[in-house]
Amino acid sequence: MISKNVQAFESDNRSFADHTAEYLLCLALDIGEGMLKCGAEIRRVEDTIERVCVAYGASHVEIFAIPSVIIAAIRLPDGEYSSQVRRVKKGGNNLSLLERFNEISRNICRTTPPLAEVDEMIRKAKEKKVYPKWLHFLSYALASGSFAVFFGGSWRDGIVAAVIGLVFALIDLISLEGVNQFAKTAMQSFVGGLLSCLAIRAGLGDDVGMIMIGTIMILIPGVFFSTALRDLLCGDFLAGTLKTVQAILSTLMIAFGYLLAMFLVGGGIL
Amino acid sequence: MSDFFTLPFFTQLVMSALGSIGFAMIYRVAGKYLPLAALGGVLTFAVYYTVEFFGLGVFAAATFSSAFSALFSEIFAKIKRAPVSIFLLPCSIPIVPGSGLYYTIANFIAKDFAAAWHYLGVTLGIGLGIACGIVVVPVLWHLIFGAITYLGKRKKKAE
Repeated sequence: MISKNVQAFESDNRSFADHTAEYLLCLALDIGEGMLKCGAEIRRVEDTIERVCVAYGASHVEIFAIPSVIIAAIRLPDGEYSSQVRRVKKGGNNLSLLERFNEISRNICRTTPPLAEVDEMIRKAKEKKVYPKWLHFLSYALASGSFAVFFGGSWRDGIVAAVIGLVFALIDLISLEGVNQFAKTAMQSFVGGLLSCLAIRAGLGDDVGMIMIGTIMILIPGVFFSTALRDLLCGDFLAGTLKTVQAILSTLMIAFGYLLAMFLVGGGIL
Repeated sequence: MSDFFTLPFFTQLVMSALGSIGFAMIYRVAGKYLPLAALGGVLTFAVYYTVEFFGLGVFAAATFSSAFSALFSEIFAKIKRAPVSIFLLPCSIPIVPGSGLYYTIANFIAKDFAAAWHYLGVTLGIGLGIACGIVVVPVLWHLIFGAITYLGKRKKKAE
């Protein structure tokens, strides 16, 4: 099985400076990095990279991943060796991209196509967009509006929360890279708190609490916290600890933002 | 039974469906999975509501409902051959303690520290409960499926 795969390399077009191990690991890391960016669990990322490398005949694979870095080394049966480090910048949840990467890794593990083809598949997956801009805005409005009503608000509260959700979507859109994640969360919470209080003052909503809860639901890292604990309990201590700290910090930032807004508006709520 | 099926409960069911769809879209879940996300969100909240209705407390409610959402996700991930997160993230949204966090902050502002600590405890308890539920299911799931494949292999070998 392994020798057949190595033979397959001989025949394909070597675009990566004739270093099969380098190229293979690079592509496997592309997939791993993509999955990690989309919010996959650590274990899944490590597992996928290992599976891809083994499918292409690597005799020895070492992977270590935390949310921001992947370290990997592989050795092919002919002794060719490669070790690479990949710094992963956070990219926001994108589950359909995760699904596509999952499909690619499943396919290439089964059929082991030439590496250049895999390269092409990864590039195509990254380029394909599922969601237009207006759906991005609609999703935020829908989420915050319906949770304002869910927790007991009136439909007027729901509409106000939905509008504030639109503002959040805008902030998320314009501050993609380079902006500190916690600063962004704090800013969103502050804006959310301020707008909720002002909306009540203007007589637009009924209960400021319900509007705020709806908007908090968008920001709160509830599921993220659970996946952090899950990583921790599954034995990925480092990744789990990092994620837990991150979740706690962003929760504090949310509290800080809303507290500040409430203090500024002063008595607008209580 | 009339206490159970109240109007707010139905409103919450509908809203949890819409909210789950909203979050599924925020997470960029492909359109074909959105109905499943809504269904999962509704059922997860229904489990939460039922457990809490029978007086078992929020921690148990969060644990059971998140275990349910994890099971739901594992099953549909298996059927649809997709990653578990696609279903798990949107489905467990309705039990995320957003209101707990808000009441903690609001009570701190109102200088009602006893209430603030209470709500902080509730928020953390629900968070921990969700984590427990989410962790238990995959462990059992892989245990069961691992055992099945192991037994299958042994049977083949024997033949």
